[in-house]
Amino acid sequence: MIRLALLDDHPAVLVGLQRVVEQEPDIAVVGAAPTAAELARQLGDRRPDVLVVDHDVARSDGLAQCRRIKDRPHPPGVIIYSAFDKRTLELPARVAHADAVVDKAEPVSALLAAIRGVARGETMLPSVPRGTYDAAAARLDGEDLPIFAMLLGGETLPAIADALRAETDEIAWRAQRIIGRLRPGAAIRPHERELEPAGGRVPDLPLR
Amino acid sequence: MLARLSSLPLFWQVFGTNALVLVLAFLGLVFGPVTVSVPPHATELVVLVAGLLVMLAINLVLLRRAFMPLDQLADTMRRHDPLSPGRRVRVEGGPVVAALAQTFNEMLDRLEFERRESARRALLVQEGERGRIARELHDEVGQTLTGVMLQVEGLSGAIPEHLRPQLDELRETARQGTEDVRRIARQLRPEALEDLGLQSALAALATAFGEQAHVRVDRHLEPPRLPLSEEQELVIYRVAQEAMTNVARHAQADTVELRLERAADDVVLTVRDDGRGLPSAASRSSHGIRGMRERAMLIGAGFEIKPSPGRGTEVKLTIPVDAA
Repeated sequence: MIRLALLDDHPAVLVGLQRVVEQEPDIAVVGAAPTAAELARQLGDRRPDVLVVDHDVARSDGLAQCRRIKDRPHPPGVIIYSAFDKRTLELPARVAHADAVVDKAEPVSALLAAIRGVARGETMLPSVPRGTYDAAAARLDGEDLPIFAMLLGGETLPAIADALRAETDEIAWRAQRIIGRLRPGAAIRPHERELEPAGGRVPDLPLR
Repeated sequence: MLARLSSLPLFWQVFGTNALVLVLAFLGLVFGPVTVSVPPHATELVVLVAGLLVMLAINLVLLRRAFMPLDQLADTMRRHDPLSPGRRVRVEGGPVVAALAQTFNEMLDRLEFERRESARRALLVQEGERGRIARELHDEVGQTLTGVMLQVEGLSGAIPEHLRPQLDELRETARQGTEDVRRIARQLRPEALEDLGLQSALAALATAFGEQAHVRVDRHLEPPRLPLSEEQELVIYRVAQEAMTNVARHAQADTVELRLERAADDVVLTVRDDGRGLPSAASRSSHGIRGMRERAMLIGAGFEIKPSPGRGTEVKLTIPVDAA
């Protein structure tokens, strides 16, 4: 039985998610709330296997939540559930160590498949194309680049703090700042600087 | 002497001309072999009339010369087109006319500046409103529809088999609703522009347009050599969007070409279609086209819309990029 927790501040979506999951014999909802505090209260001591967290820039920052949750010991699998275009979310989701990103416009089967996959321990994020990586790196401060690279490599915060001889808190703060810069709707716009890779032309963010 | 005459102020030119004519008449009467009896003889009258005609002719010619620069200036002022900013009248002619031309040019400067400012303000307000509406659509309505879709899905286990098809329809309707909301929100606020940059945003625009209008879109999107400002990128995007919307609505085209490229110190956006071509001159100043012109003016870009070689229409936006 997969223990599922839901975090979404839009009432219609929260109810809808619960109704959908009710029908699935192998998934049980152990907590469903519009805020993290409320969810923690509902869960009490129980630990969910998978958490579906809403990400909407204006109202709820699921990416930041994910980052925080993943820094705790024995975190659940986290699925970012968002109405935003997946393409702009995949990279910051990786930095936040999310396990999957599901678009709210996709059919429900996609979300259920993600829940089951993540419960099995799979990470369902596509790999990052070089162009996307380069364009994102262009948005970050130079000193954040090593942290960015290590986060993408799956390193935990304590491990990164060790490697860079810094405090874990500072690394956590930096990680949040990196996510802040990379997520859709971030205030800083990318300036497509001319990075000339071996191929010659400036890499553009590929739209698949 | 005539050359020196035309560098005097207008008043003195006119006065000088008249004075010259009167002096000539005076001299002619005093020193000329002219006597006027009382009553005048026929021959005397003929000579006097001839003299008068000569004086009038000289007056006419000299005055015409004096006033010509003023007439030319008035003519140029009349022909000035407020929608093509940047053109100024030539500052020449005597001091009065030159001063007038200069003042006219300064007035045009002020008017164009004021116009640009108020257009900028209006466009900012418009973009702000669009952003707000897009966000609310996306966050409120879009999410509600997602919720509906999920709740419908949640019913599917509980309802009898023969009702399943209706439920599927219902879910599909809700899903269509979420897609529509997204599409509209994206048209209002091109999030791709903020997150992925101009080229990607234009590519996405081209793709979306091609799908909706069932038109082939050939795209050629080069990266600009220097980064463009937010304002410039937004104008380029909006002009491309408006141009393609016009093609979808009026042109009945098969192919649309979208190009963003560098040409010397400029960045040039071209939207060319192979459709019906431009309608009559009256609808050339339609809202959409005026809007494009205003936005172009805002960033000091050149804007042209004209028939493209062959058939169809070409919209061209030329953005001067200051070399840093």
